[in-house]
Amino acid sequence: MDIAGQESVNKTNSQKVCKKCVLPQSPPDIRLNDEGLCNICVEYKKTKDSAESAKLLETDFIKMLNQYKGKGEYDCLVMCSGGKDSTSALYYMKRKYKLNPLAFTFDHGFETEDALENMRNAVEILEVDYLLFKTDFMKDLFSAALKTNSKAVMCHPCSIWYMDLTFKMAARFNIPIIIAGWTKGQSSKQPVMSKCGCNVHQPEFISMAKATKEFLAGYLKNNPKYKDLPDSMEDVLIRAKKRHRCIVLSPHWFLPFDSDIYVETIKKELKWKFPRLSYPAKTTNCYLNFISVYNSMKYFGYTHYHVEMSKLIREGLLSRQEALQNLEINFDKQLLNDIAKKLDYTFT
Amino acid sequence: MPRISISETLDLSGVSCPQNYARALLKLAGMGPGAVLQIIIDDGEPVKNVPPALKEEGHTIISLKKMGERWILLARRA
Repeated sequence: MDIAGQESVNKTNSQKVCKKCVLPQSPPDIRLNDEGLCNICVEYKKTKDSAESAKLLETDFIKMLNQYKGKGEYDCLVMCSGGKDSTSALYYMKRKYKLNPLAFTFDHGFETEDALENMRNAVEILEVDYLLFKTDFMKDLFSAALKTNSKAVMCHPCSIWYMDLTFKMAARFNIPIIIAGWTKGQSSKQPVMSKCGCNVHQPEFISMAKATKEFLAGYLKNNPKYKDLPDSMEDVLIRAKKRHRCIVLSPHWFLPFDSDIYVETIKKELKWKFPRLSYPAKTTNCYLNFISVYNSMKYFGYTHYHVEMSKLIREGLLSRQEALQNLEINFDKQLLNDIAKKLDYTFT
Repeated sequence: MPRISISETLDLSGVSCPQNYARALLKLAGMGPGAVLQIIIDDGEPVKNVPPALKEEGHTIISLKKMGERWILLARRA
């Protein structure tokens, strides 16, 4: 197999990697000391994540749900990708907390059939209303990022777009609570901001966020069709607050971290299946994710998944060995080119 | 300086991100507009994350002061 990003894998191999987490040396933001530990690990202060605190959070969460339950057409809007975390979030809202959720899936033209089938099964079995927003509006932007050899991380504009649409849908249906399937590793900073390297204030994301910001600033300015699209996640939040007041939460912040528990439940109850193709292992992501990972490895030597898993290692929720296994590049250039064909681009 | 009346206190010392942020957000959501919440948070990641996150949710950060190993944050509900 022609392992995609072999040159970037070699680059990572030649880079020193933190002995505690999985972040490579990437100055000036990520630096290793004489003991081989990165500055993020050195500066990290572990706080105890007690079961009592999780229980208190769940109690407050239920209180909040009860405050709004039955007041409108829907109690909450659940962002669903068809992956294990968001599908289980939908399951919990309907079965555990007895809410009437509206499930919302965003397909930018690159969602996998496996993920969409998981969603169809879930909404049918749970008998919840389902909103599937399918579009190829941003195809030209993704294509331009590739053709100009931009270092921009594609997941970033996509997150901006998805979050903006989600807030708009919540406003349209007057829904006070948005439920996401974000896990603890994805939430080291402000929950909405933490997704996919959008956060320019977090050392691990600075280079990725800067490159994406630069690309977006140039591309959006020169394309009138994007005049209404927010240019950053900060902008998304500012616009959302003006439009409609709602709160974004994830049940995974207080539910058990071990996904094996809820994966078994959704497999049994919702006919949920692991996707045939995925990166990192045991996740569900769109086809563009493979290109995004390839480019991130090539330009930065690591991806936002390395950042997420490093956080989980520091918190003692994942072993370094397991993280390294999950992050191993498992796809080839043929796959990248099959995906890139839609964007009129070829990887050589 | 005008006198600030604190409506409730939330001790989040020893609580990590994002649980601390989520609990502060839920507590504020249950309070009336303009009410002031006093939040105790740890140094490090919590003090870097919680205040900007609450600000992004539209709440006002009145003050943030270090008291020994902890920080005292006063936030006004939007």
